Amino acid sequence: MTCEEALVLLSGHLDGANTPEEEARLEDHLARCPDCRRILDAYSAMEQGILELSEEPPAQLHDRIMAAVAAEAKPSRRRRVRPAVMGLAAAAVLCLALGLGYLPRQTEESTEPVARVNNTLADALPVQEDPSAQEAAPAQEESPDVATRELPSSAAAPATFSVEPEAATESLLVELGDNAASPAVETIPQLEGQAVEVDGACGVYHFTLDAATVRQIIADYSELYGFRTHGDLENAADDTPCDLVIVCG
Amino acid sequence: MDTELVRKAAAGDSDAFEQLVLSYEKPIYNLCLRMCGNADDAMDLTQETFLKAWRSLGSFRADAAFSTWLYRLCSNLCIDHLRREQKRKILPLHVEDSDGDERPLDVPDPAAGPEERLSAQEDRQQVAAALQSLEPEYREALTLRVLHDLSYADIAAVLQVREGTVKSRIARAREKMREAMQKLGNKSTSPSSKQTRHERRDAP
Repeated sequence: MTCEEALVLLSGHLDGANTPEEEARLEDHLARCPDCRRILDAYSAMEQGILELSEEPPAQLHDRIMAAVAAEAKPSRRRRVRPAVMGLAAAAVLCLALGLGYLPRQTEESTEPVARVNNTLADALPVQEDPSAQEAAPAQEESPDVATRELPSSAAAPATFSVEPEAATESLLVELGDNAASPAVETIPQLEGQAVEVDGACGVYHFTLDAATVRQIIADYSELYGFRTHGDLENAADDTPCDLVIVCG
Repeated sequence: MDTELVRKAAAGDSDAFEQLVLSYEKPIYNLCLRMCGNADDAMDLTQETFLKAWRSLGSFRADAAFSTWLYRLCSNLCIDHLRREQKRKILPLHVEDSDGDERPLDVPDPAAGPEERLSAQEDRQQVAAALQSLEPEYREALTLRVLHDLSYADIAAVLQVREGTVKSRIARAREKMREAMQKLGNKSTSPSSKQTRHERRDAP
């Protein structure tokens, strides 16, 4: 066993996660390697040090939490429901469940929906924050279970929408793919309150935003999500309409 | 039992919810504290976590553990917070002299008398700084494992990654933290002069 292999087993040893066979191999290595024995000591000391970082919460925290809770109505009642986005959360679940079986098909068939939305975005988008819609969708609560940052590997294949917008002169198309989906919609502050159109059975969200906002989103989130742009986003005027397409998958 | 409290809380019983808050406010606060590194933000994020839990209890599925669900809410909020801040708080391993020159932190002399050794408080700060210097995903996995005593399976459920990923992430986190401790001058974390043999290569 190399020392590098031993490091993984040392960690597993501390977590009680090694198999008996791994433990035996580690023990054998430790008997012959003083460096790894010292590292085990160091890891053990770190372990203790981390445990000692545990702190009691400040005294006022509990009351603060409960005051905030009291300011709300019953669970979920006062939540600002974004009906279309909530529909997408459900769609994302569907997409996760179907995994790869769905995505390649979606990729092949994507030309039409994306192009269609591109052409009709201005008048096709439903308005959010509609009070009657909020009442109409009481069951569509936010599902934190959907708010994953990393999808299971089977569903993590990049959803590649290689679609050129038909009318690229006035409209830019930005695709946000890979591990995006509903968490992106739920957490990107610029998208809050924006109109959204859900396309197809699952996992494609269309927003229309100005180019400045989209540039900001890309700057903020490029580490997390893969973006692909069509059109000259870089040099577009700040108020150029820009389609943001978020693809689940 | 969480299940009954969760059921009542989901039906709007704030007393039941308060029991859940009492059970989990400390671990949630500590996760927030380790993730964001300061008490003010940790308080805000803890409050946000419970408020979000209260708002979305209706969508909680009883087949999942409430604690896992709550940690996941918290984890997502912390990561979002860090992202919004756009400043990863990697603490400097050097301190500045009054004249502005950088110098390494003092390396404790193992032969020095007790009064010259690092105090327990300084030790604690060193551990906190080393942990804080890790990338958030490493810091989070290691914190959940050690401070919260979650199993690999639970951590995998919280972080939505495979168990194998949790295992390797935690192993890597330990080694990164040990290296950070060494840079901070903690000799007890240094194996020997041949430590370069232990440097980890990036995964292929």
